[in-house]
Amino acid sequence: MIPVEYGCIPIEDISINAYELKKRLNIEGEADFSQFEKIATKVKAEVSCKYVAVCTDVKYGEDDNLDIGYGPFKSRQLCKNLKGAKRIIVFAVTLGTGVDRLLMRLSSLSAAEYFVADAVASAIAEGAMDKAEEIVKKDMKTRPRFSAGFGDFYIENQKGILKLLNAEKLLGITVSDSFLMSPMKSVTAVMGVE
Amino acid sequence: MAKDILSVLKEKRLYFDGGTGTVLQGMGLPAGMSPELWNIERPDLITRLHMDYIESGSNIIKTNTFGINANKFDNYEELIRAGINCAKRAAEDHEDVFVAFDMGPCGRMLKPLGDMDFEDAVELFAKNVRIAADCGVDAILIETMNDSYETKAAVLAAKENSDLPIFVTNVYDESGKLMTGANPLAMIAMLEGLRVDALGMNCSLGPDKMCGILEEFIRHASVPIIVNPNAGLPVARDGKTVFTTDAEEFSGYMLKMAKMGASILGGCCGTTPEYIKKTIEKTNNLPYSLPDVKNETVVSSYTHGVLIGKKPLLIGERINPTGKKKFKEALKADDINYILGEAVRQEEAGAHILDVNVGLPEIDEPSVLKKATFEIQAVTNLPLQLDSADGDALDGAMRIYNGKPLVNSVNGEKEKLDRILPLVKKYGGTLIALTIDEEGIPDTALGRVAIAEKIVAEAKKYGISKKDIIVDPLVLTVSSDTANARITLDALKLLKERGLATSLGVSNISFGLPCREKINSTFFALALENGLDLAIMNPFSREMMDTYYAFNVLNNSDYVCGEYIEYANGLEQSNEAKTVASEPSGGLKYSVEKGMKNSAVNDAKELISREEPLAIINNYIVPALNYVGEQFDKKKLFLPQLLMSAEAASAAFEVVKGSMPSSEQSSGKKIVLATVKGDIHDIGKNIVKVIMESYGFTVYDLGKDVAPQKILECALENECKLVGLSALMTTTVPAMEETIKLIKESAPGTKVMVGGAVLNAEYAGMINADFYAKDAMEAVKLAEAFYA
Repeated sequence: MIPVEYGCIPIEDISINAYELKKRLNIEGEADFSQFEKIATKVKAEVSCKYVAVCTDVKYGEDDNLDIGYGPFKSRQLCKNLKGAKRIIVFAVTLGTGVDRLLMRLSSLSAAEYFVADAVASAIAEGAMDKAEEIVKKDMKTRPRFSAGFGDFYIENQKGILKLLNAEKLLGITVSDSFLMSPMKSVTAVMGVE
Repeated sequence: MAKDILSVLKEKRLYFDGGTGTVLQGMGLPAGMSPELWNIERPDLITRLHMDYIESGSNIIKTNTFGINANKFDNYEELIRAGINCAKRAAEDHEDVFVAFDMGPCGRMLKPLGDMDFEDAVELFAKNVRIAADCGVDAILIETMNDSYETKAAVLAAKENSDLPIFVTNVYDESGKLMTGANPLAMIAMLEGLRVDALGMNCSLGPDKMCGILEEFIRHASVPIIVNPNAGLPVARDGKTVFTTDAEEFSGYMLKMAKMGASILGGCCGTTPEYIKKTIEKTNNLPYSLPDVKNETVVSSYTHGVLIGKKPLLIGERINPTGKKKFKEALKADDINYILGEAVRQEEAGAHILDVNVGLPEIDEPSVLKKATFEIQAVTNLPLQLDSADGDALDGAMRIYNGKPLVNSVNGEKEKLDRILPLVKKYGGTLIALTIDEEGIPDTALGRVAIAEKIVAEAKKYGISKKDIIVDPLVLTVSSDTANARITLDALKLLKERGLATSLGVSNISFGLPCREKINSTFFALALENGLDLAIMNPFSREMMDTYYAFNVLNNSDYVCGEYIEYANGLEQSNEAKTVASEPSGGLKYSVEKGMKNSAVNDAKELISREEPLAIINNYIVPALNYVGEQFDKKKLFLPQLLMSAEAASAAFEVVKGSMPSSEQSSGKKIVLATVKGDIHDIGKNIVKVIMESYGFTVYDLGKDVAPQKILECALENECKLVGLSALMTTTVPAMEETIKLIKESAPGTKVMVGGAVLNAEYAGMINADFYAKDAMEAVKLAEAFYA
């Protein structure tokens, strides 16, 4: 049995991840974010954030093969990240489809607003992951979180992760043939438990 | 006589079974394994599960087929047949037990939020339904649906491929909405329109949280209501997953909901035969009756239902090419963004419903109305009025509409009635009925009412009730006969007396007269007083909106004058904004550099009176853009500012272009832009588009997830020698390569520029692209060089 927990994260509990915001806005150095406040308010009003997490055993095979609950795959970088952790927390958050709708609406009105709103939404999603990490790890000591799509922890793992989490039923997250998640502002990650 | 679930449901409360996964895991189903695989591997245990529920008192058992479809399992047919067999075997000795074929979500989000076509989803569900109908079941249960659009696809598949009763339950979260935004009224309107036999809610929440949602169902639903909650929320306790609500507490809430009026009770995740047994013990002897049939006229969007007849409502009329040159051009050029902008602006101006009419002699109306409906419903929350004289166009648009639409229109002509009424019966909708027939428009109010009554009687034959008909007694201009207004007003009053809702295209009254708004707004006030429920009008008309808000106050339809005050405050703010905008700015160059769109438009208008259009472009707009581009290259300005400047430049450019001879309006520089097949990230492509347009390029924007063939066709059709492709993901770069290959083969001489997060110059070379642009400014420079 894999312990599952899921719930909602109120927008008031989510901080906008400043690093992610700057990265998405292509801004270097000091930046005045107050000019984006109005758009950020619009995005926040559409966020309906939910998370789900499971904690499961990790099985290691030869040559950087491992299994975290949805079948074996190979990833040198994930093995390196896990440093032999025997258990792993797998989790996902989504900001919901309201944000996608807002972005679609803005895309037909203003490319500038669309661009900024998309960046803000991505930064909120990262902030939500920060919060979800805090909730699910409780007092456990964990390795840094790691997401499919980085290095050789290929994006194809997204399907297995979402299935393991029952994320379609619990959060409404689906994945396309090209491994894009819907709602768009959804993030998954794993963390080894030390 | 064969048992019939709907007849039994008229007589007594029925009980679904409970959770499947929870119980099967208890029987040893390994974590992560699909429960449906046991239909073949362990049919004995699946049958045992059903029998346990039957023994606990359930009289509707769900087949173990929730997650099966052709996309997920190659042997889907075998799994479905095996699953139905298990359920039928368990129920065979029980006359009073019914088997419901269970269909869950298909696992893919439908467009526009995801990548699956609506019709592909219908066909996917249809494959399942055909097998179930062949096996013989008592009903189809469409359950755990998070999305209204996918729900509609599943219901259509069930209707088109079987005669079985259809039950539907959706997943509402704590905000009382589906994940994709629909509230209970929106779902009830759409599903009752589609003629489902029972509807309700399941999963997600425990029974305590479902009581509030049930209240909404009791208030608005006319068909039996299903409640299948979870056993609370799953929590991790001592290394195990447990649910927060035990059988005793669960059944207590189910008793409460049975008393409130739920007709079918059962359970979802975490519930077991014990939960169902206790629920039945507590509720079986309660008095039972079906819900009252509600006399509500409702239309809905993907988010909410709009009740018609409570207070007057406005239908925005601006999405209609009649008399609008720019709109016609946009339609012919397939410029959907122009139409979407009209939709959003009307919503912001206060419209409650949007009319969508794309009828032009030279366009393919069925295909354009369908496309416009699909795109508009993605960007607005408002219900749509699908408006066409072409039955085929209405058929296509009603089918893909995400909700219950207003359908404009039917009239008293037999041919029209025979074409349109079956569509409403099939897809659901509220009809606008025009009081005209083969004899023309009667010149008396009573004559018009008589046609309305004829339409109501005819609709009844199709099972369409009076509440789903809104009568438009028609407005003829007073410039041809001043008696016309009075006839319409009298007809409104008579229709209201007969319990019919009413609608009018108000501004027709003044056709042919000067200062039309004066006549329109006064007639509007009179029509409202005589019982007008829906006004098709221009929400940007100050006079009409003034009349609307003032009438509602004076008619006691605006509690504590709240809407009027909000409207008046909005007017004051916009007056202040106008004052600020009319103050001298730093000039057009400054406005563009600072990204001030409204100022740039005003500056351009002001300059047009004294300078040549080309001089304005060359002396103000281009230098401003060059300056911003340089600052961007030096990293002194960033992308948001660059985009704002580009938008300001484009807006000023439009003003200037309007005063140029048409031969000079095009620079000759053009580019086709698209995000490649399989990729739905369009931010980068949109940035390039805005900046290209600000530099005077004609951009053919094909959007995202575009097939190679469509890109090629656009380039050939418009004789465009430059194509820009965007991809964000490594998984979609092969689609980019395929597109380049097709263009090189079929349109030699056409150059392809690529960009996107996963690309670099080397990678671009490997897939045979001609140019690689690292960002939007570089894309413009490369394109400028190409055309130099």
